[in-house]
Amino acid sequence: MFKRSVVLLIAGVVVVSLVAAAFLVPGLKSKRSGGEKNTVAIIYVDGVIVGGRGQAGLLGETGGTDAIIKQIHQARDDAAVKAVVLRINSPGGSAPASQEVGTELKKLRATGKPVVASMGDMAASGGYWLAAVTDRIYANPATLTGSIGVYIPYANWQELYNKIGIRSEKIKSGPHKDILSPERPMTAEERAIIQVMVDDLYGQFVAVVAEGRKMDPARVRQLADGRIYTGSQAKELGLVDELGTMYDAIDGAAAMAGIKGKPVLKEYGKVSPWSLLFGAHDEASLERLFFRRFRQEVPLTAPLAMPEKW
Amino acid sequence: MGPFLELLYDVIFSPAAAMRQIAARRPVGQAFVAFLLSIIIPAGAIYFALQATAAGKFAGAFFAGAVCVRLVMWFVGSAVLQLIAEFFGGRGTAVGLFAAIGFAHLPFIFAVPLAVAGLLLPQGAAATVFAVGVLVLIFWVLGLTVVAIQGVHGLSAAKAVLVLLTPLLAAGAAALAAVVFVGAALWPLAG
Repeated sequence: MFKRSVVLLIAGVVVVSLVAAAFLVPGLKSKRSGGEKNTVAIIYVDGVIVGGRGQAGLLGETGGTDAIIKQIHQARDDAAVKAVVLRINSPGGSAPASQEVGTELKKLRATGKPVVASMGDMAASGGYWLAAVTDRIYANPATLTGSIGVYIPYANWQELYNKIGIRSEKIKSGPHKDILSPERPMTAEERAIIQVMVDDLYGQFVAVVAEGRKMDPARVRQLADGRIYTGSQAKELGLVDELGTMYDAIDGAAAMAGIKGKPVLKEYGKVSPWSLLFGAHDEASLERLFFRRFRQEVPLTAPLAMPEKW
Repeated sequence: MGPFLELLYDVIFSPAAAMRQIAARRPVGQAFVAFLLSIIIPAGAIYFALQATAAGKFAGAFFAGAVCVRLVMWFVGSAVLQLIAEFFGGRGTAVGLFAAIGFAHLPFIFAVPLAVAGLLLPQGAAATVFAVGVLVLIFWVLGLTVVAIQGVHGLSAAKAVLVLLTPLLAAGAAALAAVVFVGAALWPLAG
């Protein structure tokens, strides 16, 4: 009888514990998230800004802008996040990818959460495009930024083909279907078509900067001749707001969100051990982009918002 | 129900006598119930704990996977230990060892009160208390497994420990051999 009573007592303790666990854990979850009310999210933009999923693994993807946009959405939907710091370390990338991320950043700002850009080594061209749509830009004095402009790369390998005896022919559905083909020189008409495209993209870029920086478009065009600036030059020209580190940007974002005291930091895009194991960890690199281009995996016509040399 | 509850008491408080009794009676059905409790209860607690994390969506899959894997491991582990025990001169039956090992996992039910205590403590202390508690439970179960091997096969404590350690030692030796062979095969490539 004594033995049965002891076992029943133990069973009772275990059952009560199980029930308590069922009730305690959700409470704990809300308690913990409640403790993180004053959160500043950090989203990293590293490397070349290219559209797509980047490198996809079993447990996520990194590199492409799809991953960055997903993080922007996470920050938008997380009630604990009061402000976002966009840490940019990028020479730029493709204009459409920069534009897409920029549009999502605008939507994030529309929810009332301030977004602050912090520039690292480089935030040029497409990187600056993203910074321009944020509420405030922090750069280090030695940061390389600017390079506001667009180009579409084009190579003419006809002479090389002639030397090695390759004669390429195409059956086209229209006269411009093989525009930017490396196998023949561009016609004047085609050059004009491409120039109009580049001018249009450039105009969009200038408009983004003018709107984001509250500058006269004519003034932006003066500065946007493609050149790069140091952080301190950019500050003087009004292309950045403050000189400071990422932690200055975090403090600035917290102040803008009305957070008193030290904010809780939440890093989005952190590489997890799982993603390391399953491969989704490589950031998009310029070398990889070039390598892909060489293998014809991305179209040569991708308009690039990044410096020709960096 | 009565004898089953008394057997559970004995497994916890006087394991040597309990294991001898299990070896003689071979209550496989009761062992199955005891083992299932020792899996389902802690897995349930982990299920609730996972709900509070980002991995919450995997909680159900974890629960089902844990139950299936542990059941398979019970069966396979008992068979392996039976074989090794026979090599060491054991005289017990496979069914007896299977049942005894099923009961030997019973202490894992205490993982739930331990986890709840962890939830109530401050975060820093909770991790330490939980880690120490889980270690204690693991060593308790290993100790009961040794007693189960002793009770079923009539081996000395040292031999019973050796029976338990042999699969680990064999796995370690196999891994070492694999490293040596693979290393030797790749060595010319390194140059």
